[in-house]
Amino acid sequence: MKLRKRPKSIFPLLNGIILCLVGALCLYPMLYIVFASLSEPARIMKHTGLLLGPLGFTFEGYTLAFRNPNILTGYMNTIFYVAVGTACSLAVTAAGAFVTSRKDAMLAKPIMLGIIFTMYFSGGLIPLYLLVNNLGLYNTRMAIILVGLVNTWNLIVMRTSYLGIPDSLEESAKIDGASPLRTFTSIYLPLSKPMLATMTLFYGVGNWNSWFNHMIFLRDRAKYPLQLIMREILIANDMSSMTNMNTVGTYTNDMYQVLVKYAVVVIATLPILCIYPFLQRYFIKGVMVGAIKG
Amino acid sequence: MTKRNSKRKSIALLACLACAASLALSACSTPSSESSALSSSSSAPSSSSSAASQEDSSSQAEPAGTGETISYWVPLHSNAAQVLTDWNDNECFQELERQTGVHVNFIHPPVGQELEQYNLMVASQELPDIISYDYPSGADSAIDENIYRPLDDLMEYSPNMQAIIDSNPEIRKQMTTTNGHIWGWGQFNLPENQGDKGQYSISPWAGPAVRADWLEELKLDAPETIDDWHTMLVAFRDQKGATAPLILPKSGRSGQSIFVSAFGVGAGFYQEDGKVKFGPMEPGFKDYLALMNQWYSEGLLDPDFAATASDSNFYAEYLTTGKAGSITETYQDIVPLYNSLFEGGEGKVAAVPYPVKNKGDQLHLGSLSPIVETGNGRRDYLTTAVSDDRLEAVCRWRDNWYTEESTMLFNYGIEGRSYNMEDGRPVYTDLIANNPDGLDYAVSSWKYKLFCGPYIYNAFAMPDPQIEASWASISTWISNNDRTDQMPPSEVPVENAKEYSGIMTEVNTYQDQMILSFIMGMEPLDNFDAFVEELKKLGIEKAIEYQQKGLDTYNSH
Amino acid sequence: MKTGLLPRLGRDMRRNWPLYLLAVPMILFYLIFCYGPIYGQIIAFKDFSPGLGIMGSPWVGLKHFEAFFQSRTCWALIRNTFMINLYALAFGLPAPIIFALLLNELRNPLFKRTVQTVSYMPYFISLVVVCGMILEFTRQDGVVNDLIALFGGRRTSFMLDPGWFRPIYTITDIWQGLGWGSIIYIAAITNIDQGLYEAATIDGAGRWRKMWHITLPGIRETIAIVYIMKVGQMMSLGFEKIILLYNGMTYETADVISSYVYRMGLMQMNFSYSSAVGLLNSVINLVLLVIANKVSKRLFEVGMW
Repeated sequence: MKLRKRPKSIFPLLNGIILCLVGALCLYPMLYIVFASLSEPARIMKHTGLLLGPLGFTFEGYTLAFRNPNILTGYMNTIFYVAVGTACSLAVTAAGAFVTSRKDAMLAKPIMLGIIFTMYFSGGLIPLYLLVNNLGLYNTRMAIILVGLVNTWNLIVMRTSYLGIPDSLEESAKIDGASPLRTFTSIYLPLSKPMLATMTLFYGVGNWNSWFNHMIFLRDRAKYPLQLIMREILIANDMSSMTNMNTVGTYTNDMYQVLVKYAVVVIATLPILCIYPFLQRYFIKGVMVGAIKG
Repeated sequence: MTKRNSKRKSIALLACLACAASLALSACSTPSSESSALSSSSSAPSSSSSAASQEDSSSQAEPAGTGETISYWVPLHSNAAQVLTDWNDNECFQELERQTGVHVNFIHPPVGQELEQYNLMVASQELPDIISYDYPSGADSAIDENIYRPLDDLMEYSPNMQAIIDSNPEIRKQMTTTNGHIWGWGQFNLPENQGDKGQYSISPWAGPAVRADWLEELKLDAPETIDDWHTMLVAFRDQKGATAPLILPKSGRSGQSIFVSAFGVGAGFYQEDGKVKFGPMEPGFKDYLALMNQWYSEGLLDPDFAATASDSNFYAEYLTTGKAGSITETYQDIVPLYNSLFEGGEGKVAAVPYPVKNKGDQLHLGSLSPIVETGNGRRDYLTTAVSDDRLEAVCRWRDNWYTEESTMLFNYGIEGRSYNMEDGRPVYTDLIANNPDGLDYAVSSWKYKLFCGPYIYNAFAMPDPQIEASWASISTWISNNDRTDQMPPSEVPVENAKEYSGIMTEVNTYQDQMILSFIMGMEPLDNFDAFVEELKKLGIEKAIEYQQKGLDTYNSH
Repeated sequence: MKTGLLPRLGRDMRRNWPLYLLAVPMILFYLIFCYGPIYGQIIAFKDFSPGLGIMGSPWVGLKHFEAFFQSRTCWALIRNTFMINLYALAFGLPAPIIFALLLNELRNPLFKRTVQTVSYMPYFISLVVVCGMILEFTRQDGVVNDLIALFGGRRTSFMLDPGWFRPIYTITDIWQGLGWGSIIYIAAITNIDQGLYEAATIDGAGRWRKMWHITLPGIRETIAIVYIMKVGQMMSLGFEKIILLYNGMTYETADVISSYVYRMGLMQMNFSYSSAVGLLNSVINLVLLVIANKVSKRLFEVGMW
């Protein structure tokens, strides 16, 4: 009895310490970037090692970053892509995952296999580009939403969570004579609330971070998302990138440019970090069980 | 509960329907619709979605100067992206449009993603009128594959450029492809604009630099020979406590052959009396490796040089904090940056000549820009999308870049706004020299002049303090180096290009590995012969042969 | 029940058409945007040149596949790609699960939320920045070596040592993906019926037994799916982080298929070659996926199809 009690009392403390360490390791790099973005450029360039606070204090990095005409439009565009893209993706994925999780539908499995196949065999960039072009979607915001409509990985996760819902619940609905749509909206959707929250997060963050499709399918810089602008700034001084357009005349005597890189990371990251705490309440134990019983 | 459910249900249903409808719509819409950006005709001026013109723009019969629109695909420099969304925001192009009446639709790929965008554009065969980007397998392939149109029969519309080509046989060679076509419009680094009259012209933009204040303090002269360097580096290590007295590039060798050239060989391909050689397999290179290996073991190099990120911030940090006292390879425009980082001016980085083996040696290899600049954004090509009736208009507009007025416009901007004539020479106003918005010269000159590009480029069209600083570095670097063994901008013949690139990928991977291993002592130098043998096995001799073919054709033009 | 396939299908369609209607947007998406461009795969067997287009480029058969297998480092590339993925499978897969389980044991909700929020921050830092930090911290005069020296160890150049490349790559990958990867498990844990825990507590089960017998089985499906997917990607690995971290000294363990193809592309954009290598990867990955799915079905009774 004694042996079994001892680990019980030590574990929460140990666990707390471990998680504190993990938390610190995860938090610090972000803090470093924030500190660096506020430091005096000459001092930050000379500094090595850990940074425990801003070296000096200046907002010049942020002022400079916002002087870039593309940052603000980038923000607006990103918000559009995240809001509209996530809503559309969520609806299509949730419905599609429901259908492919039905064991009594003969086509569910073939459809799923067909989808998994596309994870491995795609046509590559050029045919997709030509297709989007021929559909008249090139350089439209619609192209971004449509090309990224369903993420197969998310679909599989969603489908798996549906598969975990006990058949008994559904059978009772069937006895009531509910249509598939009704079963979906009144049983499956409420039951998978945490999963829907997860999907919102996955799609939301995915849309926030994405830049590749935008780079391929948009021509107007006025439609660029923030991430694409940030990328341009981050790789600008990187001599290992092989764009020889930039080998000469990249270096400015303007030391504050060093800060812009850090500032831009902060600008592009903070808003999306704030989403998580909002969605977190759906991850709290018991929410779902209560919802069914209620 | 039911109420909530039904509401949710209807929302979900709506969302599904909306998506289904949009998908179905997009699937059905025809390519000819208005929203298809690329297919809009070039006559539509400046609409945000119309970008590139198409071949069959039959309505383009108007002569130049009356509402002509030209589409122009050109990479955007990262500094320009800070202040412009489009080259039409640049005042030079606004002025050019006023003068010529020709509107330009500039198409800029995202910075850093130029190649991808370029390939997609070409693959979709929706070309603009002019492209400022090299075709990956060379101009000749592009002409063979009907993407670029050579200017051979159009030179009558380009009198200004014709005059430049006629003025200098070296320019003619560089304007001609291996197959004998005139490839397009170039950036001309005329010798009189460079402060240097070398064979292919042009100022070196890279070379070594040291902490001049340390030299003074230690009573040392600026190092010339390798022995001088050794004495200096040891003093830096012992007396200044430098942990990495010399910063070596990540690859273990300078791309500009600095230090390597002291042993009479190049870091890559180079020529000796018209014969192509590959530096790393020459005996001189073994001596270079031996030297670096010795310095590495003596603690004169950064122990992590091969692992560190190669960005200017890192080097700046090392040079200004005293961890390092010299750098193998830096650029003339970065030296001032280092100096601006010293707090209270307590330190000075200055360029020193390329190191030599024996005092008074003359070097033949170093950094060099060709007289017709290479690189993307420096060479413009006419595409096959321009219909016959528009050829004259497009060519004449483009040739207009080479007039005297345009040369002033691109180099200095608009008189009275970005520069004034003082004592017969242009002097920048504060708009560029001391920008009121706090823009650095390298940024503001993308807005009020054209920092660089395919025009008659004046390397010294910069604010006075910059001219001084640049010239200080450049004149030092050319003092003992004529760079005559450097390869001219010749091209491997089209039919060998694929095989050549395959060979060189393997060669580069292998030599990167081995050169570092030799320097760091993981591989004894006795194995140098085995290294050369392996290079031969990988096909280096074939690659040399292809380079030789390219050089021979180049020299015959 | 020995009806033919077609009549059965007909009956299924009659019965389930409202259900299939729900999937129409998704099916259209896959048909148009995934199957539509799939003909592009043929460039693996052609010498693609952008000027000639996909259809116009000449056929070259298996040339690009042969070229890959004849390259000097081909087997090293395959081995390195596989090994880094194996590390990811062995250490990267359990890490977020353990993290989620530990997090689940926390009683203080504020602390729990804070740790959770903070843990997914690294996921958002751009790779360029992350790799810059890794390079700086692992230098001989970097923070990591300062710590080692403090405890009397010898300073090492981690990024120049081929033996350290995979561990560093994996550790930083785990660090970056820990919080993010755990979200899916945390969501799955919330699906577990609270009644089971209550019953177990009454039976006198301790923390470990509850974790082992209730929580882990409760997220079994999620674990299985993640594992199947990871195995199905054993032959692919993004090149971005690799090229930001490797150097000539570490090629022997760090150079992977994608970074090699990237370097190949730098010399000359070689769509056909990279497409051929990609196709090869896909086939191997698909075979691995099928095997993993079989194994998972047998062991956990969970599969992707």
